Amino acid sequence: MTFQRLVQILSLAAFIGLLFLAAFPLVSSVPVNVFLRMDPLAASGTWLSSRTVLWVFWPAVVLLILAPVMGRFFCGMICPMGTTVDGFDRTLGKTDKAEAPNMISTAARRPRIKYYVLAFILGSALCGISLVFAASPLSLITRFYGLIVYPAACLAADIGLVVLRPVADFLDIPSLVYARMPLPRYALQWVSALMFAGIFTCALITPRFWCRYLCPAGALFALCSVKPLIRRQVSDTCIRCGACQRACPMQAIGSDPLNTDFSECIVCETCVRVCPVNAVTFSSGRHAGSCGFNALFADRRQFVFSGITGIASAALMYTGLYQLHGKPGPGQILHPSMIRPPGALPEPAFLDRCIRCGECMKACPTNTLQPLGLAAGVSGWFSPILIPRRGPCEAQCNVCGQVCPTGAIRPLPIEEKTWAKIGTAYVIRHKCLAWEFDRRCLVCDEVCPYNALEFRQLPDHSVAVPFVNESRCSGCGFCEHHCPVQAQAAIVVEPMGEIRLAEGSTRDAAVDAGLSLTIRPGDKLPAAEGERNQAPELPPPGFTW
Amino acid sequence: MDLRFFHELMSRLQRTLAHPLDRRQFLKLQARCAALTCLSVSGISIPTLLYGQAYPDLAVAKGAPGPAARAAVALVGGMKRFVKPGNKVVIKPNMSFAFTREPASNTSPELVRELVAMAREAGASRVRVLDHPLRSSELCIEGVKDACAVFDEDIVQGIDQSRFFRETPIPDGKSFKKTEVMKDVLEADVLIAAPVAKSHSSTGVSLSMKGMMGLIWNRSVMHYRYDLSTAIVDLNSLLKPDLVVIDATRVLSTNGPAGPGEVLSINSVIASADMVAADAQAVALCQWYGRKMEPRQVKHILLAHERGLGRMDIENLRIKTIDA
Repeated sequence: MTFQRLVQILSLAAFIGLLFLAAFPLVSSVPVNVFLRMDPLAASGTWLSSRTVLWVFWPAVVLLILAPVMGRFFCGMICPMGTTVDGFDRTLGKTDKAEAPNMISTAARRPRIKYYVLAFILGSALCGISLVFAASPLSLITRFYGLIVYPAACLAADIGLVVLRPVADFLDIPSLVYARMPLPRYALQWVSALMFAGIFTCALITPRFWCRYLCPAGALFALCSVKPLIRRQVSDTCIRCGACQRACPMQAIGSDPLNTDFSECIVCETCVRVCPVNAVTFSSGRHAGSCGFNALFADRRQFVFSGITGIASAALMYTGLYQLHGKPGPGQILHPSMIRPPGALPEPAFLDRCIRCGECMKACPTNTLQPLGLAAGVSGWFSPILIPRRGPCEAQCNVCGQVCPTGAIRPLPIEEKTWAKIGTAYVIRHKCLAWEFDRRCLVCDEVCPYNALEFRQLPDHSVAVPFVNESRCSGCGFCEHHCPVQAQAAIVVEPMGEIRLAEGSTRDAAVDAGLSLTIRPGDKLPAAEGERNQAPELPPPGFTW
Repeated sequence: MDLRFFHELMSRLQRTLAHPLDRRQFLKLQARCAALTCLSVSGISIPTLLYGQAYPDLAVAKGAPGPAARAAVALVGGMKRFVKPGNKVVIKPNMSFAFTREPASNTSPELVRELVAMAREAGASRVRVLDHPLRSSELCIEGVKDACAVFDEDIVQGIDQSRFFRETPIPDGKSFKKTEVMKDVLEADVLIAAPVAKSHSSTGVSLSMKGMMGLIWNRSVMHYRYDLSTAIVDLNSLLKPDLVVIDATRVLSTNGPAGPGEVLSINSVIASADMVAADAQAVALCQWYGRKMEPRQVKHILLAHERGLGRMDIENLRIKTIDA
């Protein structure tokens, strides 16, 4: 095993380990989102679109500063996307790693469109629309491992537990008998899976296809490592056998092996290893070797054009009916399903910041956070929403804000998160068991952590019927989740009356709005008071005469 | 002398007869039985004193949850009456809500710990403390789990996956005729209900009988398909705890089952082998929404009494009280 492989594997293991630790309760002492914050595209795109310099992206800045010194070592060693692509290259790619000369010439003619992708994304970001999520390698790979691999791994582990259970029961090991895996499920699995299948099967075309041609973060690193201090050097002993040229996964070595396109070189040092005469080193020596034989921007005009396309796309976003950017104009266009996580910034700012990495969805203990389809247009694609029918927002959890790398969901402490109202529940009376079917059902009241439901005994109803006290409802969705009515629940949460602040205390804002969102026991109870004051001819709730 | 006494006598005889007797043993037994018959017929001896303790139908112990539970169970015959050596025991407390001490929506962890200790002392081979919680399992069970950590915290489980349940018919169900019950409960020899006493806005109170809903997978069907009280009694015809220990140390007398509501300090623990009697006693012991209520005013208690699953006429039962 070479040094580069070792670093790659350790880095990928750390990435997966931290992603696994992104869960409730959050126990990791290392920030679980640190890899996401290394992505220079996520950093620059988010800075541009949100018009804010986010200091959380300091790891990306450090890496960009290191690029002129050490080249694109991030791509070759640290990037979990790169390592995963390498893995697929080894599995799917041609066993003979060397590329035939004719392949090399074909590949050389293939435009490195990553620069255009970069221009496109930064162009739209300049206009305040973040499309970072479409191509940010760290966002994509987090989504891959978090929303596709993780649920599948859980499923496999669960099957393993089922097999082990009789043995554990026989040996009387209760911890193993009752061990169970979370079984998360996510929306849009096929869309994601097909996208990743596309990226990874490019191994059939060339190694590192994504990194060579598509990755805009790689393009940013490339721009910073045109001629790095520590770089590939070829000594005079070179016999020009071309072995390095054929083996280079990035095709960064020119037809004369002395030449290196440093902005393409990812410092994997494959060329050092394959050289039969040990002519290649990575050092700061003076052996020159020309650089940049691939024109940096294969076509400057196309680069500018891509940027303009990005700007034009932004214009489309601003004029689409369901897009939530800019001034929406008359009417209320917010889709009723769009319940954002607690602490999410106000909508346009939220979309500017959210890089759709899915870290919040991976971490959510009730699996209620799900990727959004197209209800908020293309620019809202894959952003997180709550689906209460799947799971409620756990009152004592604030993990989504804690793991969010960009602050799109604010990292609110639990006392503040309790007050970050995400919506309001309302009863659909014609579906409600108590209202419509005269059944003694109080599940919504039983499960509500905020005591927002009141059951009143009305004269023309044989059983007590539920009312939502809006000032106590946080929109957590426990009621909708547990409502026993099938299909559409009889109590439903909508993002009505949500409290979303760019800064400041949600508690203060909620109190100003007349809310009382507390889960602490013992505070005064309007519901109980109401029941106490009801007509004396009625029995207490649930009793009969 | 109640039926239970005869039952025990019969089982004792059966145990004796299971082993072959030699002639001498047979004659001894004959002589003893004859002597006892003579004495009891002549009124010199009262059979209950000879054959062992007759237990009260209900015991109420005043005190802190742990000691009161022990005292109450001792009054109704001690844990050895219910748990035989090698038995598998399931204890069902209320731990369906995120654990905090005050709102009295969960059973006191100390009471559960005491029951676990007693069951182990009686020789249980396996003790499990199980519930099917409403909220996130870890948050709900943490109080009881911490309390039971002196034994093994893994015996306390909030079970939230359907594979731990098995479909079971309810032969005596009137409307609710089958359900999925926790496998551990179906395989257990002894089921102990350890509910907290609390009000319930659709069934009046939630005690041992209502608490059995925490041992099945699909509770919502009981709400939307059947009359809830009838379905509870149907379920109780299948899941009938051998011993009921009600935590009435603090009672959520309003706004149950989740609370928060008015919490009364009753400082009592009720024990009985009759779930209906225990629940009836708990109803009579406390005020609900500031009022005195009768057991018959709780529909599922009334229905269970009428179906002969137990007795709610506590005025006719023998009740012993003690200060623990």
